[in-house]
Amino acid sequence: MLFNSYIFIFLFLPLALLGFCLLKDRNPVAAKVWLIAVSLWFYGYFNLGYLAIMVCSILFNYAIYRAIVYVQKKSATEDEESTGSIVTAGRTPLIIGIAGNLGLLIYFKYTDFLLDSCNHVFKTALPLKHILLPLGISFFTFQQIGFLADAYRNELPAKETRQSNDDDSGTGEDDPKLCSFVDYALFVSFFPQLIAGPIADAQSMLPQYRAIGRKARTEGAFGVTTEAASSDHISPLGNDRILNGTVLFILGLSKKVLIADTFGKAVDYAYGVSATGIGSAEAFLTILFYALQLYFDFSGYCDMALGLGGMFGIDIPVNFDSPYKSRNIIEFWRRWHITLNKFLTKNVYIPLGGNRKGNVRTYVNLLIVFLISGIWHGAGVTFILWGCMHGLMYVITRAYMKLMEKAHKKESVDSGPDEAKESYKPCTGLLSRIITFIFVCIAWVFFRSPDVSTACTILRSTVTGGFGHIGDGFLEGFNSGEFWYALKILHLTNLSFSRYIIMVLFAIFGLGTALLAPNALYISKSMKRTIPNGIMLGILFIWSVLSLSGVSTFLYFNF
Amino acid sequence: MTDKKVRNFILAMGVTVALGLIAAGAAVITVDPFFHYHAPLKSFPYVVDDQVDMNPGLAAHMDYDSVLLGSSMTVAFDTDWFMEDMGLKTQKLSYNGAYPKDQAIILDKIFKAKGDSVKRVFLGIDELNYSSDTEQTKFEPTDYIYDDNVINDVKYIWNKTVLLDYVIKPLVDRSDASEWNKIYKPWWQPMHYNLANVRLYYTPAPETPDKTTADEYIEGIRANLDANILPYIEAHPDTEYTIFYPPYSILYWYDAKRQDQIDSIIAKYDYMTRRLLEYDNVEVYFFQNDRDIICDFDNYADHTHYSPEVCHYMTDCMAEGKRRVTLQDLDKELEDLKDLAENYDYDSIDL
Repeated sequence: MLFNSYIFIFLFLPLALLGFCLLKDRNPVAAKVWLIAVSLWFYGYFNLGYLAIMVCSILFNYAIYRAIVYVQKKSATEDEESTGSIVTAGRTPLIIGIAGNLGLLIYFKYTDFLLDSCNHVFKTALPLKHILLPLGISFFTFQQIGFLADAYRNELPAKETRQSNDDDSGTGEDDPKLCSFVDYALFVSFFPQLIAGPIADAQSMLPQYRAIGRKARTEGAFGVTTEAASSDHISPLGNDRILNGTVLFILGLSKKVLIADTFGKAVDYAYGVSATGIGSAEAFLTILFYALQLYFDFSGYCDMALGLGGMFGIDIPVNFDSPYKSRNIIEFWRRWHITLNKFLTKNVYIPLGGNRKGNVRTYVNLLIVFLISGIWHGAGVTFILWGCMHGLMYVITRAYMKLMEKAHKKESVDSGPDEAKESYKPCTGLLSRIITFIFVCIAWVFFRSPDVSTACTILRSTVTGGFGHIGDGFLEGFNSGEFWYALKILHLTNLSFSRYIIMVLFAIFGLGTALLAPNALYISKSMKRTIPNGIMLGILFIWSVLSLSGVSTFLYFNF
Repeated sequence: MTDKKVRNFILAMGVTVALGLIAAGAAVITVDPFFHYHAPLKSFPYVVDDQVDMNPGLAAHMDYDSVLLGSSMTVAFDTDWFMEDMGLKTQKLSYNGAYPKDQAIILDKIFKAKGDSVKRVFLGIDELNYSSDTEQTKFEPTDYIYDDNVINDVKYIWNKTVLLDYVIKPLVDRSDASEWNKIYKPWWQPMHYNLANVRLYYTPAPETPDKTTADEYIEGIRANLDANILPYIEAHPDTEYTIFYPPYSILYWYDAKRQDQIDSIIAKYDYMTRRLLEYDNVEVYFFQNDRDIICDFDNYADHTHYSPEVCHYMTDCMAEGKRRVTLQDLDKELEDLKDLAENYDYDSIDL
């Protein structure tokens, strides 16, 4: 089921919310089971086969988790008698768990890529399997790997004392860190983050799931304490959490349906005809518009996920924070797909040694992380190239910044300490920001292209295509529907350049929003609750709903 | 923030959404531009240009006693001619590029709505598409139009394209309103029917060294007739089926010759005609070898699509029984066609 579909908005969501609100205060476990059940419905709506895979994955990982806990407990008991450490205990089940998850991911996502690569390299003719990729498999396998790693490192959050004493999740055990199956299943399957992330971590999510129906004391993205939200009897009126969530959902929906999909039409057209040649202007605009399409698509999805989580009193981790405002590539990766970056840092970069083993190893580790990030995004050479490009840029930027900081420090020592000089930060000026944005846009060409040759054709066309020609097919997505009618009403359609007006306005709006505007989370919290704003949001919602008939999937569904 | 302000904010948002969705839904249901719920309003200037989405509604709610089915080869017909020539109130339900499955789907809709009150079905058969997969359709049928699920009608009643392009736009600009007797008509004007225009679209097919066997396509044709056409002929014996093969220009046969496919195409006509003529309620019209039509490029806008004048001529023929083919004279017609296709002086065409 898609967030941007009629069935989700008018049937699934109201039912899910209603059931949750009715059960939450009466029977928290039942409320959680309800959320799991609707989440399975949400996932199974795509394909029942997918659902079986996900359920098996959850059962497998929970069994592995319990094995880790068992081994660690046993080891701890033995350690009381001897002098060992429990840190290494549970390694075997962890390795089995990681291997199982990666095996599942590799089988479904990379089999054809590996077979194809094998055929190319060894000139074999192995038949491709054409395995259907279960949606969101990259997200829920990574999330579960993260959970197992946290369990192994003994970093799972403990229950509060009262929770521990009054745990009604049916575990029947008194370990304060033990995660019940219901909480675990909800942690993996919670529908707002199931299909395209974020890759939530146990530290931030488990306490919230445990707090359902109880008073807790954490504060999250919505700035509303869980205690306040949990103690409220959720009703359509007066519950700020639901309201904030609704506002954010509407903003996200409109970003996706009204903006991303409009840019997407031009991009799809250009990539579709790129083999027969596109002009330089079209090539430039294609590169820019794909950057904007992906931005509004992914941020729209993240806003909707965050808003939906908020409606259920769950603060989903922020995954997207105005990334095109980044001043350098390092900052970009702190703003784009934040949770994937955190996951890779915690579970790949640091175990590889992080920055503790000298500069060369640090850079190698970083390149490995970006290579994995590229492969994670897709089974193809283009994704690997995209990851490598970002890795190289990251390493170069980091090395340059270190070098500049060192030189600056030396200069400061020579000329005496100065507060202004101490706060010197290289690669943070306007030029750096522009270079970062251009680099990211170029790298997206490889991300979007079906093969390297298409990516090269698009890039080459920027200089060889000849300026001035923008085809009707490219403009069609902009010059249709309500925007074209707006031009007609304003009597602008007779102007010689009228066919470009809407595209230019879209480009200005898209760039302005991406580069300058506050993010939707901030807007949803700070928007004044006035009647005009209410009407405006209502119109935005209607406009988005009426635009749903040309439903398109989220780009990040494919990863 | 006071509770009252929040309440007003929610109320404003909720009322806007409710009113907006009710208004949009009411407008679409009232006008019903795809005729999903009711027959067209008398005074509304409907734009009828979406065959996939509109044909089922037209089949269900229009007043007619005969239908015209087929591919883009049938869109240039004026249904008034059928009334003038045969006294039949005919509804055009063409699908551009139609496959046999498309015909089966719309025949289901027609007989479900009208039962045996359908006196006559005019069906143009393009041999090219009749050896395809029996389940293949030209376009994916729109779920909310073709199924009986009321719930997914939400995609129709809250649909920006439907609302803007088919409800509001016709009201603002009535000039695009369709004439009911000429719906789906091609955009070509009289000046486009000539060799110069044909030349614009035509590139001779590449010559192929392998000769296609004569019965190459027969199995596909058999499967399609059995699955998608004959069951309707058998199930409705009181309905008369008038089947015609659209006359493509001589350039179609030039391509067939270059690809050594003349025999296999003629074998298709032979097989189809014999199977169809097994039924008493079927008559077949054969225009393929009508030299006055297919050798005159002033009848064509491209190498297959003929002019409204040709359509009118064919309608007259079907009314008068002219160019009707029977089992007795089928061989003769096919031999004549073969002779024409193989021996025409293609070099005389100024390509």
